Amino acid sequence: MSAAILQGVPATTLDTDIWVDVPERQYMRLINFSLSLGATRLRQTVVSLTDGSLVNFCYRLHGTASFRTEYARANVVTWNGMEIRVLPLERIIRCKEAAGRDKGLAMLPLLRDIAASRKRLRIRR
Amino acid sequence: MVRIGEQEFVLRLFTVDAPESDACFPDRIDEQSACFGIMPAESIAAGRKIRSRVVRGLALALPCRLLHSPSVQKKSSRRLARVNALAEKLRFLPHLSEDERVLYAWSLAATPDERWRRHENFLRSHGLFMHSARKRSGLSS
Repeated sequence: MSAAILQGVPATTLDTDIWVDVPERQYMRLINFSLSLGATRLRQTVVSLTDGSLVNFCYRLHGTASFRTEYARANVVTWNGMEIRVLPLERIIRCKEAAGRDKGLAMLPLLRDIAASRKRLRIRR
Repeated sequence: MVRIGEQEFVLRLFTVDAPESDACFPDRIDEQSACFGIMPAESIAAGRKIRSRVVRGLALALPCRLLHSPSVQKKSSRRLARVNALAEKLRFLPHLSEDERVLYAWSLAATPDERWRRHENFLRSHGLFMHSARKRSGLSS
């Protein structure tokens, strides 16, 4: 949902999912990197950063193409002075539909409304 | 309520907390209509306009310093105009209420940084920003 929030969805989330192009068996690379930044490991893929925010590393996402394909067609958003790539709302919707979790399905009407609004009103940021 | 000597006065802040936007309280509408010298229907119409304005103002969380800072006021006025324009364009989504349209417009008019700050402020306002606080609330393992 973090990507959706950055694209204008008036929602909230308790953690930030970061999709990484790293084999899942190498999860310790990411954990060690996070620990070197002062983070605390909570679970195999979840760390708590020094400011208390949660980061969840994802190795695959439901309903999406390969990392390379999605990376190429991701939206570039300027956030805190950095350019980051986020999944477009349409891909997030597909992802939540495919995952089929209740909390994801509950967000679909909101996501669809904002996706339609951005498209119709030609909002790019 | 204000007491002066033996007398008590009930002050109602019309357009601040008492815009009657429907006919649920006919006596209040009559009271407002008499106060402003207008018809009850006009009073309701005015109440609806005021309600919409208050909702938009609250969505923007207009700060008090607007009264003293022309530059901030100018910037905020531009933002308000943009939000209003977007809210009008969002009428193509007929299922949205007035409040939802303003909320969507506010969110779409913001920059990604502003959207993220708003999200963080929301979590902070509910005491859920820090992991330890979420754990206490049973929202995290």
